Amino acid sequence: MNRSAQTVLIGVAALALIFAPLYLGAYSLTLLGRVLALSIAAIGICVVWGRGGILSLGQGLFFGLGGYALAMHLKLMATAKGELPDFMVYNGVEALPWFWKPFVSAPFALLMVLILPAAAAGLIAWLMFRRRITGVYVSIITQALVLAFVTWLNGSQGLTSGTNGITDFQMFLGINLRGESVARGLYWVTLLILGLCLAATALLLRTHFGAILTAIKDNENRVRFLGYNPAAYKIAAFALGGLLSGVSGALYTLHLGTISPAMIGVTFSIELVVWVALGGRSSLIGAVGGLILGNLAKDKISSAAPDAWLYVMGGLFVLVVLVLPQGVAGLLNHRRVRRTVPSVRREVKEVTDIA
Amino acid sequence: MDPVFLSGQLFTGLSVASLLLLTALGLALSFGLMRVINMAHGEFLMIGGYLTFIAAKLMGPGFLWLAFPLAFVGTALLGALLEFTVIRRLYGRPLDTLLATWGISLILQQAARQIFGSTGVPVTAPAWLSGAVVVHGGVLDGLTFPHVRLFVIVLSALVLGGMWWLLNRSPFGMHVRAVNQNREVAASLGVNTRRLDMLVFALGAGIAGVAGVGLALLSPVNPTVGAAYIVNAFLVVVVGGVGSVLGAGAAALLLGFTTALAEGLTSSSLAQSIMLILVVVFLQWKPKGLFPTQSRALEET
Amino acid sequence: MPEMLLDVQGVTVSFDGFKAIQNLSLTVEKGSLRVLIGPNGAGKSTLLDTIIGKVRPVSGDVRYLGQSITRLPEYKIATLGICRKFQAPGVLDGLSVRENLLVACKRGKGVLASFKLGAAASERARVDELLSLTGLQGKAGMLAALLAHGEKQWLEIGMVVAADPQLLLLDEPTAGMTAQETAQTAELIRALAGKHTVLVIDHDMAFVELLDAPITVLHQGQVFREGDLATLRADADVMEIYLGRPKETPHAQA
Ligand SMILES: Nc1ncnc2c1ncn2[C@@H]1O[C@H](COP(=O)(O)OP(=O)(O)OP(=O)(O)O)[C@@H](O)[C@H]1O
Ligand SMILES: [Mg+2]
Repeated sequence: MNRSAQTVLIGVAALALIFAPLYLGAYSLTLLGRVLALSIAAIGICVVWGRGGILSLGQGLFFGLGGYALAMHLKLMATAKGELPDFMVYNGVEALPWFWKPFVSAPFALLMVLILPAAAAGLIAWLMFRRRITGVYVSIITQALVLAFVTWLNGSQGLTSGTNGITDFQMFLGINLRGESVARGLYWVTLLILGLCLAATALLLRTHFGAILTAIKDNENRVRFLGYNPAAYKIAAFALGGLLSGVSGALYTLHLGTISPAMIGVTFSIELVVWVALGGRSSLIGAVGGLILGNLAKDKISSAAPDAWLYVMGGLFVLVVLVLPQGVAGLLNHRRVRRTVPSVRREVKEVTDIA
Repeated sequence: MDPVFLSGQLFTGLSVASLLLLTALGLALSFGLMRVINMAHGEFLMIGGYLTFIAAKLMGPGFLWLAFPLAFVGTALLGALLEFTVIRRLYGRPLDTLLATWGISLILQQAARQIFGSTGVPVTAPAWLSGAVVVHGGVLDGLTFPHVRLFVIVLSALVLGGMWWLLNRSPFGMHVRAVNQNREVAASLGVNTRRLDMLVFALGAGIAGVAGVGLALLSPVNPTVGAAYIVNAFLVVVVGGVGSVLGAGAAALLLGFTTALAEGLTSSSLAQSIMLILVVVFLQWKPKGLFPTQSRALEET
Repeated sequence: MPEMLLDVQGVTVSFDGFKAIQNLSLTVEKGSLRVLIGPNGAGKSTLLDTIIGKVRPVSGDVRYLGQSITRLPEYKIATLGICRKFQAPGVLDGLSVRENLLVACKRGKGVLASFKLGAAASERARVDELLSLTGLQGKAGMLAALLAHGEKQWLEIGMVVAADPQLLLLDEPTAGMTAQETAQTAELIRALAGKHTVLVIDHDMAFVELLDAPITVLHQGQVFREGDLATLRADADVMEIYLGRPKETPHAQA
């Protein structure tokens, strides 16, 4: 498919998304909005994995931090003044824990939605990349960290409501979340944020930063001995990935009206990655599209045949990797990818400096 | 703290570490040799457990004689099949292998769920394993060592010893270590690396199957039991150092004890979190694990 | 006394007890061209690794312009003006030839400086200059992965000279080149030698002869001899360490 056909296709898809509230039913619109919120996390994975070559299996951690930051505020908003959130009362907590207190303020909570995930991702990345931990090690460590987070959440009934998660939201920024037209508004806001994130990231990847990131993925040593500090670039990319995941998590929480450990765990994190792989890890549109279509398909198939779903999902993991290493986007950009991918792989072997 | 309680925790930690070690051995082997992360490895453990369940159904009390060979051969064959159909096609793409094997683990879990149901199936240990050694008198009065746990510890010590011998004293092990150091050179010296990959992978799967027997003796087997072990097993590999059997042993003990102790001090979920975070901190200090292998060929990849 | 650019003082490098370099000392004058030869495994590449900080010595010191660089992070050593071409071509496969050179010649190497679209006019001019220096003008837009082996070698040479480093370290730059390409490379290096200080490793005696520069022979991690090609050829000991090995010249690539 050539460039102009692609542009037309993307334009049509964008229009269809913008006007979706006018022709979609309530259920479909909610579903689509939710999936759009999720797809912001896919942008982050595309940057970190597709461009930077770093496979994080712990994006759920940052997603969860964003989601919980907002959920804490929403929960406090749904709790009468001077009272404790219901789950704290059930668990015999007597005073609001210190880290809950500032979340009464909406600006603070919104700031935390951005800062917490980005800072956590930056810190984790700093710990890993400073010590030159790479490849599958990063995947294992990030997976372990998301597991640690979820395990802690599950065990902290009184502080985070444990396995039940935080639910029952009512008001946000003075808007009643259960109101009539909220669904549409939220949909458009989500679409707008998605569009902004996409555009900003696309721009970022066209700067020198994007080139260095690709260069580091190809040959980290070469870049290092040209005078760059690869760790700094990887940390920046990882923090950006965390930030996008956090935004995605907050929006998702708003759409679903709840957040719980089961929503952000190991399985969730790796599923995100697979949808990105299916769409095309190194293409922003591919990653976002893969996630959107994948989740819509998941909704259809898993409600029609719940038992079959895991087979489909499992099969997809294997097939994508074996037959579509560059995802659907790679298939569409047929000519370009066909020519480069095999030769790139051949070179990787030659580079190993075995004298 | 009460010394009886403390020793009890340590003992439990040791038996948990034993299973962890058996699970991690196969991972350490295939990771060392092929740089492959097999996310479906936990499912070999699960399948070993279910095969034990089947053996117990077929044989009654004397089932262990059937369970061990059945679990070992069954999972080893499955491992060979997996290596042949998927893993070798992804050679040199470790991250992709990770995703593909995760998919396989989903499929295996779902299959187990449909065959055996999602609740655990219990296996009753034979009579000679159902007692316990109890300490009488002294500071440790009342401390109990259940036979099953002792059995699992001895089992994994035996397997570890066997593996060490196989890798360090046999011609097979020499080939494995050669490929570990430098695949291209080993291949050019006549080592059949493809066959070796498959053998090692099958062996690792078989050991996990054996671990599944031990697991079934300790607790009911359910479809997600493998997934529960896999993250920790990976941490064992990472902490131990790529492809090092002794490293895996030491790391399994370290992790098992830390978790058991932390569990004694706090809640079990907090203990798990603390342990995972400790591992990340540990890697700051020794990014290549306890027993790193130095080789130029490794460094460049 | 001429000014010393590089001063390697009694450096020992050990890999798990195996001493790849033993108490080696070597000085390189500013603006000079120096050739490093020695049989396989002599420690030539390891010496370069030590200079650029990829490998850290267990003892000894590497000084550059009078300052010790033994403990500096690699990227800082590079920004001081030491740039190395690796033995196997190390180009950035996923970028075009032009982008490869641009990455190499950028002045600001920090993350914040990288958030910029396009390249400055001076950088573009520099890239054009490098393209003609390496003879890759016709392939500027091509992905580096698609270049032939010899072209990659040139591209990498272009990349290491891009930021105008004072000290150029070239590890077997002619490996995999035809005789004609080798001669061109020799010419290129001699041209660079005026502006930069260059340390070249090579096995190809024909190439070394073309470079016509003082030679240091390494053997078992130590400096074995120093001198010009004619003297070394007449030296029986030098001939023996080479002939003691099965293969001498055109050294096969992995
Ligand atoms: N990272 C490493 N780990 C272990 N041993 C190493 C490492 N790097 C180099 N060596 C060993 O150090 C010795 C010197 O190697 P080096 O690459 O410096 O030799 P060389 O003179 O460049 O040889 P060649 O001409 O083959 O390139 C060799 O025996 C090599 O195997
Ligand atoms: Mg060399």
